Amino acid sequence: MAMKILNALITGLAQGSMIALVALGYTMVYGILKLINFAHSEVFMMGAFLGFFGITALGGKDAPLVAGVGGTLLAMFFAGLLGMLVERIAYAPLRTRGKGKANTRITPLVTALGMSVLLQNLAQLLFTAQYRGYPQLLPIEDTRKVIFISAFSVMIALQFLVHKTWMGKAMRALSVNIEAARLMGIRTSRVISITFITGSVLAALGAVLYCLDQSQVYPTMGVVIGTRAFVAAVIGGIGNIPGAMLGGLLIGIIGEMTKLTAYSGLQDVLVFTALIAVLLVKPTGLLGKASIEKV
Amino acid sequence: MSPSTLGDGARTSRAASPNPLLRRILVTLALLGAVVGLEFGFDTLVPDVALQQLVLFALVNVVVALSLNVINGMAGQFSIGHAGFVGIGAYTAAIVAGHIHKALGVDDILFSNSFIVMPAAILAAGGVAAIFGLVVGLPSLRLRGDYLAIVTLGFAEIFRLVIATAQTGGDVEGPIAKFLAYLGGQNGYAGPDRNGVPQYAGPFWIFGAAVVAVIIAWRLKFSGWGRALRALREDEIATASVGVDPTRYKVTSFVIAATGAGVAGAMLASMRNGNPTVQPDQFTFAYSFDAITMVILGGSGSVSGAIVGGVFVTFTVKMIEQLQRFESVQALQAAYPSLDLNALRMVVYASVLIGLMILRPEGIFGEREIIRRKPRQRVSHAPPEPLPARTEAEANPESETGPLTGKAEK
Repeated sequence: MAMKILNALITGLAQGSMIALVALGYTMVYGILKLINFAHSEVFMMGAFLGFFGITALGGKDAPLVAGVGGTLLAMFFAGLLGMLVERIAYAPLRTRGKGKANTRITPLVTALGMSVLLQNLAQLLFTAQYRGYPQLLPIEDTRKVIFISAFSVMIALQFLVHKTWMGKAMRALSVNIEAARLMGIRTSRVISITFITGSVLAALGAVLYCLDQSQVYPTMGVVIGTRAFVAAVIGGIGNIPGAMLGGLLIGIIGEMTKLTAYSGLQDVLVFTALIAVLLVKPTGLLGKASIEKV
Repeated sequence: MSPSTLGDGARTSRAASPNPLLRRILVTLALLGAVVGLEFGFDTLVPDVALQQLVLFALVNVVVALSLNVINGMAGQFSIGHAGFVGIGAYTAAIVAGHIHKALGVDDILFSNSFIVMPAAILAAGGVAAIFGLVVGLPSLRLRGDYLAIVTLGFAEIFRLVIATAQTGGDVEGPIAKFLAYLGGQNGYAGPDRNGVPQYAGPFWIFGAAVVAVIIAWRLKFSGWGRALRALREDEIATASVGVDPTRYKVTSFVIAATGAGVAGAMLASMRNGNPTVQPDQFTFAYSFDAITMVILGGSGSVSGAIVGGVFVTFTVKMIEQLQRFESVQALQAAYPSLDLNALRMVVYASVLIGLMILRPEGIFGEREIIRRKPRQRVSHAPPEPLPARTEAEANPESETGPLTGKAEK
């Protein structure tokens, strides 16, 4: 039993670090634009498909190292491009328009949702609804190690990006006050684009790692993972980067632990209950700070 | 003009129009007659069964759109899991209607018996959906921000997945698992004896529900409550500062929306000649998205917009189904196996929605209505009292009851 729990803990950490990678994209965009980027889960799905095609094209099982690394990089590159495109098409035109019209608050949500549905059905048209298995590049235990190590090194790199570089400073400035940041000479639209690109690249990495472990790609795969990742971001404190990582790990471990009980099918119900509980008790999340809204 | 002449003028204009109470009773009777007439005349009016289905389904969707319009359009909160509430209503109504039908012991679906079955089913469906609405809405609407969107999305998806993936065969233990197995998993719920949910909702009930929903939505929009809701949508802080409790208004409107969806679900479950089983696949995210399209396309906040959107979206959905029966389309699909017309429709809808948000975010109608509501003045019989030129405090500044000298010093 102890062995089982330990195993579940390790799998949970690997799962959780992937969820954390996706959650980072939600939290970074929310931190800056105060917008739930519904299309993020579809960027994740697209990343999984791109990784699948990249890995198969580069040789798959015959050349695990080249195919794995090359395919992942390919997926990350194109997902970054896709993220930028999504932002340019669906969100940027709304930002420049003045406020004051009725219902300005739900317009970005509608375009976000529209973008999500658009990408999901586009994938259905392009790739059909069939389930595809990833080629098994490594034995499963090694895959988990690779997942864990790559996820953590990326998160550390992200912390470095956000806290030690000029661009990171600009992102943090935008999240405090977009108008003030613009007045300080920051090109806000470029910073927002880079935020979307970073989030999408991370999602693609998470997608490839997820599929290496779980080995299935299909057009609606983004919905469940997207919801779990968003819940992770909220639990950690939305807008807070270490919070998203913590939340992701927690969700991963909770998920694996429920698999040990008789209610393994109710994993997402539990995740959802956790979301409700956090919203009721501490809406700012575990690591988030309460802020006072000024008028 | 003295106050008294003003009052007289108003009174004569009132007398010119027919008695409002009488008018209201006449309109009610006319509507009631129309729906009862439809119940018996629908078959001759619309002989084609497929078209009958289409009309009834469109009306159910109108109810769905009107209820979603309360939370998305009027309150400006984004709920994207409406299919979940429709599904809850449908399952509840199917269970209640199935059991009452069994208890009645009459095999035929009699119109007179529908007055026993349908009210119970509607009440149960609306009530259960309202409870779920409260549970989902209270934690997420308490906060500012768009938590409702993700919570409703997660809620609807989980509701569907829990039912669809429930273990139905073999031995199941525990009350929850037993109940889920009873609901039939992926195959759906088909009544207590698995021979279909009794289909009591004929044109009378469905037209009636649509008419009542339109009237309620209309009254809500132009009531003081609806105005407060729209004020909240425009500026929450400013509205809260004049004494409107944002959480209470938002949660109430969400519960109303959920109840409406539950009632629509009840209609869907027991629709005459409809699908006799309630299946989880009827309540996917695609249905929620269709509901959002109905509201946004027509114009969020507009009752006419929700009606037009509901009818329009239903007809296009059914048109796609009809298209798939054509041989040329089937040949095309054989040649291109990835050509999924429904996915294509969703791509088109999503693109239209994005384009609409960028070019005309208020939708087709905006907040306007097709029928202009006549501004009606409420006339009190007593002549209005003139405002005092000076307030009491100004009139005698030495008075100790004045607001500035206040009783606090005492």
